[in-house]
Amino acid sequence: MQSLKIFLALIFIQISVACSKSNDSSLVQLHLQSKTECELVFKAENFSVIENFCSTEGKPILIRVDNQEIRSDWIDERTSRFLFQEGCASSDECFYELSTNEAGVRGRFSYRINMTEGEYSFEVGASGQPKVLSESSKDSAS
Amino acid sequence: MMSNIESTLFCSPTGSNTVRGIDSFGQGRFAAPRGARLHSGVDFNVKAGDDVYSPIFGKVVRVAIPYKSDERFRGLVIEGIGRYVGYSVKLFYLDPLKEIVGRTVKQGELIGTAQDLAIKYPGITNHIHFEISFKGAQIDPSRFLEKEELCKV
Repeated sequence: MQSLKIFLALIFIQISVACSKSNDSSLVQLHLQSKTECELVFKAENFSVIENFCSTEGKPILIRVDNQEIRSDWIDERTSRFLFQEGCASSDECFYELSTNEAGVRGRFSYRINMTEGEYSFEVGASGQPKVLSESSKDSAS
Repeated sequence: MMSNIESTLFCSPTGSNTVRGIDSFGQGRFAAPRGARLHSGVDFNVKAGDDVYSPIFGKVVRVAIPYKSDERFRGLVIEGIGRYVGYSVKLFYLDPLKEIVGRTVKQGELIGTAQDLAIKYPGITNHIHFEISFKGAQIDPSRFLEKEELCKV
């Protein structure tokens, strides 16, 4: 009887672990790769985030994950515009970290632009509706 | 024609080559520690309201904003012309002259007045933050400073 209990407990543990495993893909870091007159482009293998500051048609952010595309409204327009105007100290200092799941994309954006540094975490649903989950920003003296 | 980087000299934006020493917010030299990062420019001491001058011959291309959430502070970006082609200068903590953006300025020409940093950082040595990049790479302005007396327009 005791061994049956142990056997059942082991099966239960295995099922619990399997169920608790997230469907999230691993985190991918996308660094600022280029800036044109209208766009900021962040890229990593099979991933890209393109923010468009000129077009008024459609949503300004395009997230590409493998062959899937999500068009999103601004996640944090003020930070994006500040970055677009002022640039980053280096491309390593402005980056997205993304993971995907069935519901869409989760991630964070980290930045240092002039004397301001900060980050925010967010999720974007498959329909392109963004939500900022947390945000922090700090001004430093020169 | 572009000159050699080693022979191109810059004027201090304050008219004085005195660099900010140590205060409770940091040190004014290039690459001084700033928490997890390094200082990306050189800070030149100045009193609030004093004149600020262009370090190079160039075109003022835009106003710069040091802080995302504090628009009291301003700066300017100047792109080099002539022997300064390829250089870009960024200055922080000055009130730019009216209608300076878009103008071509001589080295040493008045471009604005110094702001008061103490309203944000009480006790800080008031200064102008001065960054130079050459073809996108940042360089230490203090290595290439012109003599003060040669910077008067």
